[in-house]
Amino acid sequence: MKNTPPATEPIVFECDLPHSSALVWRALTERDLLGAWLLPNDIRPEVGARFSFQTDGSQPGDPVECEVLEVEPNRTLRWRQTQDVEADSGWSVSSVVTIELTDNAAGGTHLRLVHDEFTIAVAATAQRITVPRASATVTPLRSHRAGKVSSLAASVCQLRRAA
Amino acid sequence: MLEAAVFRALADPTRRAVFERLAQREMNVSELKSGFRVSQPAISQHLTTLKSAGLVSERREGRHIYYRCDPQGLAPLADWVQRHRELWPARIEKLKRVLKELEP
Repeated sequence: MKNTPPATEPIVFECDLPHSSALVWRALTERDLLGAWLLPNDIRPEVGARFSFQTDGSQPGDPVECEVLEVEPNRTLRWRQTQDVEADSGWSVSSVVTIELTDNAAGGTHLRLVHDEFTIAVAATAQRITVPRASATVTPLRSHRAGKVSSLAASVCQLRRAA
Repeated sequence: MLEAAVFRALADPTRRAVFERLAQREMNVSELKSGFRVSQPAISQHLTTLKSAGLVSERREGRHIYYRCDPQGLAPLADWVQRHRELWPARIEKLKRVLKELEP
């Protein structure tokens, strides 16, 4: 467990694919193809386009509402996704997924995925709180002496309201 | 659902401010009240909500009760991120299969 990255650190995933970036790009931006590996969707690869991922409804927070933030064909796709924590809770979690493609030396494509900017959003007032990055490190704190806990708590509990 | 309780508890601006003040140091209700324009019963009510969400814990000393921020309560938020962290590798495996089928 000690090698597990703090939970609110960005999620980064990288791999090499033996395909051209143009083909990978299709799998990211064509609805049927994206749906075949991620979730059924109505994506439109244009900046500002809103789309959603539909799931089977078995989990709280479905569907996932998205907005395309960046499109560079065969290179970069970036979207913000927002999902309710629980139906009618008024709370949602918003995060940003960035997928970058680069040509690798083997003639294939290197894919780098970053999932970050986790924020809690209040639907009614549009206020946002960034999930404190240090929150994942809180688990062992209980075993520390009280004074140490309160100073660490202060850093953990610094909530930032986005503009 | 504990996770939703945390989100709800932090939704209210006053409650969030109470939580942030307690993050600086432990305080009793009257100390805490001095920084706010709301009544002491209102502060107490906010503390109750924060306690039930696991964000604040209390300590009794004689007639006084002291409150402090309990960072353990933020763990559900970290759990949410962790669930997503675990989802991506399987999704990418599926992407690889989709790409393989596309290759002429």
